[in-house]
Amino acid sequence: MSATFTDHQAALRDEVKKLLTDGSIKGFIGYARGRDSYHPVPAIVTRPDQVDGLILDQFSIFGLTKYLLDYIFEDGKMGIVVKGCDALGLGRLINDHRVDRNKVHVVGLPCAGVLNGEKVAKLGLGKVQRVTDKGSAFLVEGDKGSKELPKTEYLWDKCLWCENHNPAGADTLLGSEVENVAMKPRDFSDITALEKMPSAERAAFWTRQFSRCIRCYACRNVCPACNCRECVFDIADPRWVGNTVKLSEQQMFHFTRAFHVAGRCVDCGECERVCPMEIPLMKLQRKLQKDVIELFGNPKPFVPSEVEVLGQFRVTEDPEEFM
Amino acid sequence: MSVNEKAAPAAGPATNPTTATPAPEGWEPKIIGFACNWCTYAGADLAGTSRIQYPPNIRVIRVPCSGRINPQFVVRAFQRGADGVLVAGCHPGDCHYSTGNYFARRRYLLAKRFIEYLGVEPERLQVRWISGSEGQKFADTVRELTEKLRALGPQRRLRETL
Repeated sequence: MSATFTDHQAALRDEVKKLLTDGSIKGFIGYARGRDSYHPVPAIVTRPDQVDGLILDQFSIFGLTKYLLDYIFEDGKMGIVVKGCDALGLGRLINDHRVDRNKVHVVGLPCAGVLNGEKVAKLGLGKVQRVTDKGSAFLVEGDKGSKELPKTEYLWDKCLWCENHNPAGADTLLGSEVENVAMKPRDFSDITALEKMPSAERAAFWTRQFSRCIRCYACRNVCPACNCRECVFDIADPRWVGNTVKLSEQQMFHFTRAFHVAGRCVDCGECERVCPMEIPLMKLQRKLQKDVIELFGNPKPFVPSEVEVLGQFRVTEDPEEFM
Repeated sequence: MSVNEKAAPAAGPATNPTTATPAPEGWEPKIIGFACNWCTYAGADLAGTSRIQYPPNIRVIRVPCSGRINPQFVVRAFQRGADGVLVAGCHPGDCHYSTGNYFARRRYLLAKRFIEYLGVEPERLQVRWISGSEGQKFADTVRELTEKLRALGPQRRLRETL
């Protein structure tokens, strides 16, 4: 039983107000209320009088780190609130030399799991008044009713196998660290099932997924690992990399996007969450994770390191299949 | 199952470009071979000067190093009508640039599995280390790949569509 995000809301506001007033940051990236209690949205405040618009609640899933790229050429520090998973994304941006750690004030938010707002919204509990952590469940009290929601059913998938509940290296930590144990082991059984499918069926499966893609690039824009200054798919005349909306080029896009972050993906699951067409993008990322773990003996490829898996090699230990 | 999922066309022969259709009359497999300048290209050259016969189905593209062969090249080759792709370079330890093929090895260990995962038959992408003295190995690799592709038929799963 740990404090919920809402318990930290007042502390967050105080901290941001202090930082903005004494001029140590010029803006803060956090959350504000969205269309209902279940869908908080990213918000950026720059003045102390805006701070009361910042909220924290148990539905704050959105990874905010990618917004830091909007400020890399400006002077001054930005503040940001990060959960454990977002801290990995921030680590990714820092290790890729895209964000200067000295220009970020990191407010860490220890996290016992984020409730899936999409699922909870369907329960008809109305406007949420209070969320309490009951250990294995969250008690959500709304104005139209309250319900105890088991964590294994109502958290986002990634929270279940999360091993990074506490953001590492934060400048300010809200509250105290929570118990850092995964609720269940990382599970690749859905990937294995796809691998076992006959290749024609698998091709049909992916055709069904990729043919829905509308090339909105939300998956790319939200991804902390997909952080090139100029993306190959944004070039006006990309020559041999097509960027029109047809199946073969959707396949090329998804192959490229997934492979460009192979061994660098931090497993935050944001690509899949933001996809308006509900393409199971993490099934691509997790296949690559699984292979990296198996092939290169790197048990945690999603934790950013200085040199990533495809930027290094081992002469004798790497598998040899191409003789 | 989401709303979007339901809206998607159901998998079936009528709407699905991945379904096998018989090869047209007189069809010959088309292979794109990416060969590193220092070993495999020299190996292919040796096959030629030694008068070793190999199927003319391969079109060799010379690249400086196997480390130059972006996996996107492979996907692009499949899109533009290749039935099979051969990626070939110097044996580990022999790279002209010391380490290019070690990076390529890691990259293709992942990429080969990933391309298969997307539904391309595993036989269609071959990665081989072929040195400048292995003219016979080059010829054998091309022959073996051509035979496999002939059995598989035309590649349609990543082929460019409208």
